Amino acid sequence: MMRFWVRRLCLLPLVVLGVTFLLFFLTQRLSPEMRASLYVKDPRQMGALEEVIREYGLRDNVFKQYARWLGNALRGNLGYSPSANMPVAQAIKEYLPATIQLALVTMLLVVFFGVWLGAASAVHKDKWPDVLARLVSVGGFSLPIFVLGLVLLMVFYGKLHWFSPGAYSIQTDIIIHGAGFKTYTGFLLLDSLLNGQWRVFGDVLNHLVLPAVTLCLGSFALLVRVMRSSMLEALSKDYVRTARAKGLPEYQVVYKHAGKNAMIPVITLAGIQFIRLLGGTVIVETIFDYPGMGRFGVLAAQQLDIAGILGFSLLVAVLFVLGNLLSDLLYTLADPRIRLE
Amino acid sequence: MTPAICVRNLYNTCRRRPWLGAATQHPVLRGVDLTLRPGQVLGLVGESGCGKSTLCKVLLGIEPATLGTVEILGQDIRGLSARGWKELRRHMQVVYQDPYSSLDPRFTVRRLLSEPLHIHGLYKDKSARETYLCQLLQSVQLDPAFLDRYPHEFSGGQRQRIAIARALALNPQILIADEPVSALDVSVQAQVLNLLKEIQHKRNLAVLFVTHDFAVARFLCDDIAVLHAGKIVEYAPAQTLFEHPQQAYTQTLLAAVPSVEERV
Amino acid sequence: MDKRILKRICKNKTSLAGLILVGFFALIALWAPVLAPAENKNNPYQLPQASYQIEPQAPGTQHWLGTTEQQYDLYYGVVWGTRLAFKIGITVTLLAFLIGLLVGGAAAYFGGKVDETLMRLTDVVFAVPSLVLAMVIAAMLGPDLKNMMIALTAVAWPSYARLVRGDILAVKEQGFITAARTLGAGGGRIFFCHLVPNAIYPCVVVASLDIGYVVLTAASLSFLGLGAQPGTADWGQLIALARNWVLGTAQHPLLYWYTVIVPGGAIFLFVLGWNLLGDAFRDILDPRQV
Repeated sequence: MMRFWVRRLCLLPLVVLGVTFLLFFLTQRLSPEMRASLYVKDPRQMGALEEVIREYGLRDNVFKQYARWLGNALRGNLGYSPSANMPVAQAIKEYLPATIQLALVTMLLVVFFGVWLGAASAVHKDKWPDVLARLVSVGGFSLPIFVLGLVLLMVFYGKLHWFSPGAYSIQTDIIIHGAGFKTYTGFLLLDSLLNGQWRVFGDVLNHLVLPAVTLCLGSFALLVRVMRSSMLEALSKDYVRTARAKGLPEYQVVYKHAGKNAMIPVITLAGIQFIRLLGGTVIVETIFDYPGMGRFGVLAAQQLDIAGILGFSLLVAVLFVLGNLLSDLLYTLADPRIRLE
Repeated sequence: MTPAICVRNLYNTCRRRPWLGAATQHPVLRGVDLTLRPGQVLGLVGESGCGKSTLCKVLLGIEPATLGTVEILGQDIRGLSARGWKELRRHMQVVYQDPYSSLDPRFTVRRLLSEPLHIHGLYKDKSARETYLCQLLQSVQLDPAFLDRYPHEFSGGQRQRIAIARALALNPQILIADEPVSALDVSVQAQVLNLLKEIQHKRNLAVLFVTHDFAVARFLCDDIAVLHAGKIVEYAPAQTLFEHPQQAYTQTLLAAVPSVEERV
Repeated sequence: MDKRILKRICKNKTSLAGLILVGFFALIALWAPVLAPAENKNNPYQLPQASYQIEPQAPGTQHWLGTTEQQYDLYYGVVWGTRLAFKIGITVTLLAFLIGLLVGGAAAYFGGKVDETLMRLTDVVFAVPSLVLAMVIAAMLGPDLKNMMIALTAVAWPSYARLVRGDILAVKEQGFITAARTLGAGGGRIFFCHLVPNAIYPCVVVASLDIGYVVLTAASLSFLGLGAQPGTADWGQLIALARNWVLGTAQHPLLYWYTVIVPGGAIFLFVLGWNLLGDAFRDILDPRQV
């Protein structure tokens, strides 16, 4: 067992190196001139491309260039991103908290409503909550999140004016960039509370609703499915029958006895899904113009901003690999019978 | 008369290579001597992990012998060519423990039984093959109408009969039975054992019967060899072994089978 | 007993719905030249453009399902988009499966160092969410249809490689493989008569059912502008053209609903059909899985 974890830990950096090298290798498809032009901020300097190529060694072999990039990355210098108009490291610092905030709110929604709907559908099998749950679990996998996002935008922003895109309104923008507002954590939801700004908190939460609901979709469908089957299994167990035979009221049987046991696989699944949301943020943040890592990545990809793409991929790979490791750990902790090879 | 199987001083070591560190050698068989005469039923009895299955694997050529000689029908299996093995397998067949995994789930009974004939180029005429397959099924007391069914449609006992029929298809002289009944229900075990006994009698087969169950071994075998920690610790006619076990280990094993004494 | 029959029927109903949906789209794809005759015979996937007027037109007699921004006909786009969806889905799944088969088969066959190296390679691809990796690769290769398919293949093959490897290893351990060996069967016979049918056919079925997912990812890439280019009959691309119009006008907020609902509905139903079919098949192939 111990050896499994040691091995996993040793492989972690290798995998991350592998991904970044693969992508770095792909950038070599672009001519040195194209790559050099990314370093040039002023169009008038375009004549000096050859100098830039020589200065940054863009004609060296790929391993040498990769080593240079890696060395800089380890020192915290990921280069300058033209698409975000700031250094990549700074962009990550600015955008990552917003994305984590979005993912957390989404996960809360998924777990809360997913557990509720999944449990309800198991308890009222073949009645309307079950039909709804089954529709959701099939439909959720099939509806592209960009279609859902656009429809929600159409109805709740266009028609009803309940929510709006972006991360916050102009008034909030003025407040948080004003002198009195202190940044403690980078998470706006937390910072607004710490500053005692209730209106900012409400505004930020309001802007989170549509992206979070859209981002829910896939994970929600999966969670409802798992909760339903796990609850059905728990309800058929002997300890539930015993609880009923003892004369406990039905809600106690369902929520205390069956529900608690049915939650275990769901919680571990939620842990995994949290990190899987990263893929979805790419689309959701683009649709709702939400300034997070996903939108940063898309803009970098669209504008072929190499430093941005590499930095974005590096970050996503690190987060993803760590998340997977954590979820494996969670699995073994939740169910001691599971053995990993 | 050449013995069916003759094993001399057989050693087998299992090599384990951990992810970190050097490989370790782990001896499984340490100097086994064993002779199976034609027409003899020899029981090989031992606890799990004593090397029974490994011995079978060596005999069947699935695992190599580390040291020692194995002669089957007078042929040394070491350095036997692929062609030689194929020829040998015509005369030595095997029935495995688990009838659920030993039959390819995608084959019909017809295909299962005709596969050995196909491999060895026997009964090429279609109608002759058909008659032969029906005979085979009848010889294991199954309905010839089962030919077009798939293994999953049968019970464990029926599957094991199919496996026996497949082993008999090549009309071998030696049958290795690797715990053929231990995966079956007790009620079915008796039927399959009776069938094996009958077939052995009719065909005068040499049978190496591997089992962990003394009661089963006593029912079927002429002689019994007790395998312990990779060595044969006792070898005697079945009756003698049960009445006068010589070795302390055999005595402990027998003492752990109370039902045998009660049944007698 | 009654319950079991009822369950069977229920299962059949949903899988039947899936089959009908997929069959319906397959017919559209096959008859696309009849349903929507191409004007540009060399490249029928190029959408005809009625005029250069910017505002989308509502469904009417001339354009059954309306037009998008810049007057691309939505009906034509959905019909030829179906054909393109099949083309992308089948090509990518097939290629990815072949690569996965080679890599997974080699890993399972050779074992040891080869296995280790190949499986670490799949780890590398799995280290990033597939949409993100496909997006980055497509961007580096340059956005067009062919490169999008390459990117999708590049992220899809590792899961097949693992699937094939795992299945071959599992089947290799099964008793009937040893049994075949002791019957005297040669390597070729064991591989083609026992290993392949038992290990690979289930994989093939699972893989082919991934077509819906591949099309979904492809649509996402096109939507982000990293796949098919504007003017291609591609569902994701058509929805991207709707982005500026989802808010409608102040008086009629839902005025341009069709720009989202028509291509979005097509993707939804297409993927839904494959998913329904997939669920049914996974139940049949592996009844133990819930």
